[in-house]
Amino acid sequence: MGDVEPKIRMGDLSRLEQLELIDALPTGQAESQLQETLQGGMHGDLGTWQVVIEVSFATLPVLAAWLLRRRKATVVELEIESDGQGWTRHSLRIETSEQSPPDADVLRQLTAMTRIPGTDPGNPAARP
Amino acid sequence: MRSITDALTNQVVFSTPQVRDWLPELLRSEGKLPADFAPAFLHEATHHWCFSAPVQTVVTVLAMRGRAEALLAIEAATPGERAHWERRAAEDLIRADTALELYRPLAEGLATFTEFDVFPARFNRLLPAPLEWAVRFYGEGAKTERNRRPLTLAQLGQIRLGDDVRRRKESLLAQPLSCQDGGGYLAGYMTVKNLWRGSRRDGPWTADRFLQAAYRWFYEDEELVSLLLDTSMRAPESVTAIYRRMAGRVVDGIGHGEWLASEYPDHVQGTADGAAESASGLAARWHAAFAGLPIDLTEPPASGAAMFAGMASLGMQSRDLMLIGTMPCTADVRAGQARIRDGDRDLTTLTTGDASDRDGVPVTLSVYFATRGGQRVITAAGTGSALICWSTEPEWPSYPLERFWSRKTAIVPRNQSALSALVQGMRAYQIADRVISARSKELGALREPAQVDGYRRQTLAMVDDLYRECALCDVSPKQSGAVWSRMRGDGFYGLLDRDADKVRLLALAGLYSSSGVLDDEGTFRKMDMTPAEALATLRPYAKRYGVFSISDHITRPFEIPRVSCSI
Repeated sequence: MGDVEPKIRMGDLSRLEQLELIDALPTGQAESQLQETLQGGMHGDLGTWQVVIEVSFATLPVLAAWLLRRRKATVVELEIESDGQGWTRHSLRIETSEQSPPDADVLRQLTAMTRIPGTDPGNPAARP
Repeated sequence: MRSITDALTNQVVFSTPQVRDWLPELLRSEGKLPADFAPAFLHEATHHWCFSAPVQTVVTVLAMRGRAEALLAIEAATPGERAHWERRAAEDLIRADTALELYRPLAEGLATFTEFDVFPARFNRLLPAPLEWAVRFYGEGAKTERNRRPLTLAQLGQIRLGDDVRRRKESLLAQPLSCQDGGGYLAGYMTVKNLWRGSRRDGPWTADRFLQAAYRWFYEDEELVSLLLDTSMRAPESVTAIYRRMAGRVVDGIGHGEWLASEYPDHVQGTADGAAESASGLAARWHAAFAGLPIDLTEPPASGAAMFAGMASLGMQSRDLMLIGTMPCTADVRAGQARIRDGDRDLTTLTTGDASDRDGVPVTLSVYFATRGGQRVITAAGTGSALICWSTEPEWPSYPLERFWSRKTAIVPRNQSALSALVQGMRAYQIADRVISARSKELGALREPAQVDGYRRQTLAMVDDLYRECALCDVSPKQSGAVWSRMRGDGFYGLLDRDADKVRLLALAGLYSSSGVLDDEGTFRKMDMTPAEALATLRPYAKRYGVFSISDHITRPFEIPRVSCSI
């Protein structure tokens, strides 16, 4: 990894999803903002939110659990910055599996994408 | 990207990633919009309708005149002239901004109310314009006048109980109740629901009938129009007068349902097609407002102010044209016909005007809805918005285009000329904006117009108090502080103990309640609940705070027992 702390960026969240996710994550480890603001005389439908999450042992399981609950059976588009080279786009398939607990499956995918050790609940020894 | 409507230009931009998929369908006269697009369509159509009305038309005139006056100030020959135009610009811009901010939560409230709650009742003689327009894009047999009520309760009900609309409603309920940040969506929605609920105490006011009367009550308020144009006052006196009139209108509406009855019958006899301000009315207001400006638009523009005013007046021509969607295509032009293609796919063939025979001409294909005449208009325009080909359904008549500045009404005999002017008008605002941007540094240095920001802060504080009072009108004084503290930042998410599932349940209960669907069990099964469990979850909050009500009782004769939720 480079000097930049790895981060995950997820957009198109409703206001309720943004509030729920920010509340679930450890304080100070995520930021959010409205994706588009309306200026002047502009009116229109409700905007969507973007959340940027610092990748850590504490945040990834929370995100995995939230995705499993709110994005079941979908493909989620995420952006990840993990090596100081800018954001890269990734697709994450959220599906239930008979072979392993579903949250572990989502977490495994997230861990592989972010390429940081210690976030696999099945391998506590790898924790930093 | 959000779908937006600009209150000043009345231009609509629908945002949907699937435009390329569904726009070709609209090229057929009987082509329909996709069902899941209906909520967004109803939301923006409501804005477009309201912004065509006298109040917002005058706000637009003031905002445009204020900009022209500011440009006159920076182009003035003497300090005295500069001070004169600065003062006038400041007064116009402050009034326009005050009205815009006072109305913003109401505008969003009416739009979300149409999106989530309004449906066409069978026995009403007059559909509110947004529903009338929706019928043109959704209805079976929409071409015949006798068979124009096919956007049924069942259709809308099912759409509203779908996942997309539920998510939109959940998002609305989690908005801040405060209007300081975020546009006042929730406060506006709750105010409109309370207005509607108040009206129902006095009679069987269906949501569509209520919407029609509310539009007239707020957006056709001639006394407010007079105040906005009253030259005998200056800010802050003018700002106070505008606020008092608008606030009085909202508070009177909340307290007494009879205002609806006084508004509705007049409107039934009025404009049947839902088009609000007539073209002549708009032109007359425009002429009167600009009469004192030293600008002659019959001459080529000699100054930035003249260029801005000319483009703004041209843009006014297009206020009744609602853009439904646009996509890049190519056109093969041969012998008066143009074959429009998207890559290898033939989309349609349109009649051309003066375009010479060519292949592979890059064009922007657009579908508009002409709200005044009810036409579906398809155009393909080349570089610089030059119209290459078009079609209208039904046929476009010889259209009276108003020459705002020469005060003559010209009947334009040819479709091409009329449509060209309208399509060019859509672009004229962009040019007007560029004139402002090019002088932004000098405009920013003007002292008097800089007061607008200060007045806006004061207005937003007043807006917060007004809509808070109306949104929470049924909350007891004892609970009022606690409710405000819970809802100010996070709306119902704060009220319902920051439990997202409860907000989802409340959104579903509200949508079910207004959907007309009779399937309590099936609806709440989506959240793995029985109707009784849903009631048991939400009722304690309803009782404790009084912000909303929920029941499964019959409240009116002939009703079938079903879950009913006020929000």
